[in-house]
Amino acid sequence: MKTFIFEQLFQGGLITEEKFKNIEEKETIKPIPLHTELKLMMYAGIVLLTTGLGIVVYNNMDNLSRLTVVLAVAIATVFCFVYCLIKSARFSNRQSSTPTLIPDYTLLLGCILLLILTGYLQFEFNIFGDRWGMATFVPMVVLFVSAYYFDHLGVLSMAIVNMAAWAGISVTPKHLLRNNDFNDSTIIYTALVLGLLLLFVAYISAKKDFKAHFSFTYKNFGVQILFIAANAAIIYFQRYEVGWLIFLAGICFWQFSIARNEKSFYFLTITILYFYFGLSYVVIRNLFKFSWGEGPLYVAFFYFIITAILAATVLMRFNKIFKK
Amino acid sequence: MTIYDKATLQNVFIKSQSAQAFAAGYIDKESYNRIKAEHPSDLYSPNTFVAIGLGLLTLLIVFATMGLFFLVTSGFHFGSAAFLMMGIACYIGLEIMCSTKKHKNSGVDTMLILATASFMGFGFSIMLSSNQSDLLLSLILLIISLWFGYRFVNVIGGAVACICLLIFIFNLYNSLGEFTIFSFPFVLMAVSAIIYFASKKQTSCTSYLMHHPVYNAIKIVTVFAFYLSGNYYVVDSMIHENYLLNEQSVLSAKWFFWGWTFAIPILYTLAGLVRKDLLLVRAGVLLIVASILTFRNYYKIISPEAAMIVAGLILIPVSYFLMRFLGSGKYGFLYNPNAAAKSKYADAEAFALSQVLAQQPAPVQETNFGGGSFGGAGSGSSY
Repeated sequence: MKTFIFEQLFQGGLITEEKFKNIEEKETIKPIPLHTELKLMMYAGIVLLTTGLGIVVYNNMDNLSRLTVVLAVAIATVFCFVYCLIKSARFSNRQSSTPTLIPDYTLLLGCILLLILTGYLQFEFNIFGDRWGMATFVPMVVLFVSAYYFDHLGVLSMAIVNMAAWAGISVTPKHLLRNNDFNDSTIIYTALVLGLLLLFVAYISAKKDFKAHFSFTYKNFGVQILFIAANAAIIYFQRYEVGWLIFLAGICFWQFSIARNEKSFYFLTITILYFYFGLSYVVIRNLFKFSWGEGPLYVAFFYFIITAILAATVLMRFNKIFKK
Repeated sequence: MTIYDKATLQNVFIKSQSAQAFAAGYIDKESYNRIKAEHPSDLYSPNTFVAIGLGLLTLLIVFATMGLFFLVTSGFHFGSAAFLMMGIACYIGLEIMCSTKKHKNSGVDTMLILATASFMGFGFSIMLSSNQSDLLLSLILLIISLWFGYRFVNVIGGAVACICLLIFIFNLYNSLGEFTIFSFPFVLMAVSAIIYFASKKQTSCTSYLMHHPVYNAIKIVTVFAFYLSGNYYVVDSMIHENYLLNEQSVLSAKWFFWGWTFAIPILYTLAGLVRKDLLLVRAGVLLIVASILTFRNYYKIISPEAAMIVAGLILIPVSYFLMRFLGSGKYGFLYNPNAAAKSKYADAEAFALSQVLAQQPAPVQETNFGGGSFGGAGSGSSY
């Protein structure tokens, strides 16, 4: 804060002298917050350590004694979880009021080590046999339980991503387009169901006030998965594209009305953008079914210019309405 | 000369400061509302997410216009003229949006500024594509970005202008003759330092309120530029590219540049801690990482994975210690786990964590396991 601004405001009679002196005094002695910086350092440390360990484990599969690796990682994992159990507060169905510093990060470390461990055990010892689903199902359950018991949003997000992996889809943006073969109706239906399920959980969490602060994370994953699946359906089921477009419009309208009630600019923006993508895909694909030389190209460019302006106008209009 | 009304920009600044004071509990709601009422602004600066959406749509419009333009003029040669004309078109759009609709950081103006600068830069670089023209090109880019930084009070414009100025001075100095090979890093250091102190002076001055964010951006660039002009790797690669005279180069004073590479980040961090300057602390910590990477580039003592483990084993206790040590606020800094956990970014933080960490090497075989690749930072190998 710049104190001279408040000096001006004080001279203009907008704040009292007492307030101005207070600001001046507090600002000179106020400690500088380093929350973000220190957290980033901690996360960087955890990411580096676990990535390095992961590489060592996999590079030395043949050299290291298998048992040593398993034991070392397992001991570290157990240590992390036990430590959290001892140190953390009692379970509560609300947001825990006193965030505990060390257990938070220890839990995160433990969860990542657990993922490395299960991956290694399956790869090397085939402990789950041919039931590959179990190799993602078991860590998923542990992650969910930990997230709820220790009240950790980050672990909850990891659990949801693992649940999606268990269901067969990846939900990290970098994997979304690369790994997901959306040319498969099973995946699309799975994603639709998963998206709806997550939205339902989000609704219940908020409604029953059971870990209500987890609601946003569920809702965010749910909405994103649902929108992507609906758009994938438009692309994949070419014969029924209009039907799926209406379906997309339906969920967009549904999410839009929720966003309107909650005054959420984030959900407003993604709803409009996902609908615009689906609509444009159908329009452009049908446009190029005609063969008039360069005609469709001209129309397509005009279409994008005009509709993008329209979409921007709509976005701005609702931004204004939401602000009120 | 600025496209926005000066008084309006001042009002925006005052309002943002009062919002901070209100959030910190220094002023009551009544005074805050009065301040807001007395400092009106008609600028259009929507919510961040809406701005991102508007930015994407603007980009789409720019691309579609470009496609249409090239389609119509397909008979012509795709030369610099086409790009320059697109640049002019974007600039006209920008002027209209900012002067009549008062867009400021709405995504629309940011995207149009980037588009104008890219088209212009691309157009001029095609036009001047010969080696002697580096100097002219950097000058043109400097003028364009300076204009955006000043007229549209644009942070990116200011930062890019600063980078262009340094490149321009480097090119200008180079063109003086062979002897410059011994001294160019020192010239760049001096220029960075001068710009840094000049902008620092501006940010503490009460009369140019509206350009404060731009000067802050320039300060950030110069802090990094000052270090990079003496960083061993940067100097080394500039010499390789420009002179091929490695033997008699400025790098004969190896000790100086290695010393610089390691000492400056530490000095930044210490100076930042002593003077309570967050910019210097952040830059210092980031540059310590840069100096370690520079060293690793020349002397690979341990394998990357071992380096990662060592770095993790150092970082975790160090940040733990700092959280505890600084947590009290006794030393002028504060770490409050409560504020950290309850910040409005908690949801975003959790999402980011899941994107980086959640997909550890999982068994890959058969079918649809999403998590088949390494999630860690930059390892990039799949198993």
